[in-house]
Amino acid sequence: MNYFPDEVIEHVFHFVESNKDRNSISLVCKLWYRIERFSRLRVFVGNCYAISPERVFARFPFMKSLFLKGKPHFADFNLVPDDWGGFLYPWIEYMARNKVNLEELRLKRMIVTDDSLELIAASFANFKSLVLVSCEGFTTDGLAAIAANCRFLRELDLQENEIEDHRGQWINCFPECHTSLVALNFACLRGDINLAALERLVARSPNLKSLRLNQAVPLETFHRILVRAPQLVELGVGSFVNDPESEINDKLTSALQKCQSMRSLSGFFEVTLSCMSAIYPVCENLISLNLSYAPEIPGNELIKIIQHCRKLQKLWVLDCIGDKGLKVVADSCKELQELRVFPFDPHGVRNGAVTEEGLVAVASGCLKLNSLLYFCQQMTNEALITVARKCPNFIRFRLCILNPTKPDAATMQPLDEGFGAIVQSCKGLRRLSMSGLLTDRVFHYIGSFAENLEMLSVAFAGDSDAGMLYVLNGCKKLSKLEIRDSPFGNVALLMDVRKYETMRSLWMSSCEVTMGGCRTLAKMMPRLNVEVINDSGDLDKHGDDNQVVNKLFVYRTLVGPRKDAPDFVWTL
Amino acid sequence: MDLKMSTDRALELRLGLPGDSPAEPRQEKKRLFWEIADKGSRNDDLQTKNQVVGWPPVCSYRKRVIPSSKKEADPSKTFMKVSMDGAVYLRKIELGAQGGYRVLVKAIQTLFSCTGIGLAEDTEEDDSLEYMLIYEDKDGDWMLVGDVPWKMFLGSCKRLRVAKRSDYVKHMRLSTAHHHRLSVG
Repeated sequence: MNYFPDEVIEHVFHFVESNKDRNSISLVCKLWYRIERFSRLRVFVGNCYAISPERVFARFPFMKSLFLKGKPHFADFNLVPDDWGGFLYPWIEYMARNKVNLEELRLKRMIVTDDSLELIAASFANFKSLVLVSCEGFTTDGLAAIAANCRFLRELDLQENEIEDHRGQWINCFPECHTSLVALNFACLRGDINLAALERLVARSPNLKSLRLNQAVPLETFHRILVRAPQLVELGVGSFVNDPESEINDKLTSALQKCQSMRSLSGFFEVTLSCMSAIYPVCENLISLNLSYAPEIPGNELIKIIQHCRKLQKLWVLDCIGDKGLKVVADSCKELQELRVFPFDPHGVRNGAVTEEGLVAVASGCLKLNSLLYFCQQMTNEALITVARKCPNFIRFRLCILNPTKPDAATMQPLDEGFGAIVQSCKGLRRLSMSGLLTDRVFHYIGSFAENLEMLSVAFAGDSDAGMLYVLNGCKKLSKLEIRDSPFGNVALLMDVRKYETMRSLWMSSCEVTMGGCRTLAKMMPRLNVEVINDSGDLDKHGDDNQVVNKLFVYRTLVGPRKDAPDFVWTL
Repeated sequence: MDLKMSTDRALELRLGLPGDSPAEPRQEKKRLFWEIADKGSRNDDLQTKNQVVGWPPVCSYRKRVIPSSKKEADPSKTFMKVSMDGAVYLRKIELGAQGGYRVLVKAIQTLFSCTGIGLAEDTEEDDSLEYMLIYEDKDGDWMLVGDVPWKMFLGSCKRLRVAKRSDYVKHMRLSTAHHHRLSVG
């Protein structure tokens, strides 16, 4: 490769899209490092506190697209206090000041403010795409600024964010000359929307391929939108409520039949069941179906819908589908790759409605299954062993038994053998979440077999430090380890401190680590931020080593302790 | 050293079924789920006494969008949507606050400023009634209001509609005529 001019090497690198591969390329030699950094357009920062904006842009000056992640995963479950951190503003402020040509911004679990959105709208003339996932801290006023000023905006995708809805006219703010919209998702907004403005926007967006409406958009508007945009590929229905005798139903059926490109369906926040048959023709070509926010669709209707979905690859559904419905999935959806079954009762007061039977059925019928999130009432080792045998291709396997320390429902034994079979059989497993009664033995299996495991979530599991040690010693590719309510303490924490520099982060809450253990770790590893989160106020910062630390978050960083931590977060 | 010995013991591989090994000194420290649940949680405003923070691991956004347990808790406190043939806007009425069917009809008549809404029992007799009151039940079927006991209706009604009786009666007359033809012969 020494004989090729730089431009040729750069041209070859252009075809390398994955950042993991690009990271490997940049380690080959100084020349390749230099060429790669000038040619990287998409930058991924998995932990916004691992690096600073200055250093990112110093290395990648031609960056156009940034994907930033903030809070740790357990923030989704209220384990991380709201103001822990993950602020977007400093990044935008730096990029604006240094005239970075930002075109795409993707964020997960960050605190976004209206100020940030307004600054984006004012600073980046070519801004094209904003994707916000599980973010908070902003209102529809910020969205209005984006809509009004980003002339070339193609994508505005809001997934599961907490947005204060001022019920203003943000959708009105797209100027009449704005015709470049390709994707618009505002399903998570809770307020009303100007329906006429929405229809006009759709009418002047010939490239619109993806549209996800919120609950405030009624069926009549939905129908009119379909008529104007039969080219839609992805559709999120808002409200699907209508008088079953009204003539709209026939109109809707024929409008849907004209949507030949439709491949993904979601929404249905409220429904009139007798109108559901209108969607059956669309189901024939669906690749993705998300009915996990449709609590009004009962199991027997879900079955009717799924029977039409012969090409389905991704299914997200509520557990009211039942084991019976999952058997129908197994029979009908032979192309299925990803399945997520969420609890209809997320507060966990009722027992879940699916069991190991449903899972075994799907694994037996859907041989391409590689990604699973399954909330269930119970599980058995035998079922997991069967699943492992039939589906060795799992990349993601996340099982949540609603009672988290429940043993094998048939034998009352721990579920060690079942999960052991999964990690042994699924050699490509990258992500695992476990629940049920689990001893140190399951961690021994994981450490021995899960060679490609990158992320492990542990709750109410294990007997001793040995459990955590098996994992830290064995899983060479481990990147994120999150543990709650498990009996792991300082011995496990401190046995191999250098391991944590090879990982993105470690979370431990309600375990047995103490201030002494955390202080030791911080002292031994200066390139880690060891954050003790004292939101309960129980701890004394300068107190005894023996104090048990309730929440610990450890992550590698090149920029030292962060300066924006609230006063209950101590970087030791 | 003490520390090293205890770690070595912990890492010892043992053959045998789980639970066979001699009692391990750390077993009593194992956190049991129901112990934590009984202690209650620190964030009392988020969880009830018997629930643990962050379990089940459903993201808080999803928990807010599907508050199903709250829905089932108190059907008498829900506001029900009422639509009317010919009216542009829907209205809402607090079903549980009505004492019974007649009170419900009176309240709906006030809402839409109309008269002449009939219930199930009014079907055949009263020609002066311009409208019929129907409701959508849990199975998605549209039913005449008034057939079942009031409390049962409260639990199964999902939305209400004031339908034009003339549409309904047409259907009734046809079926009566058919029956008549059959009996003649």
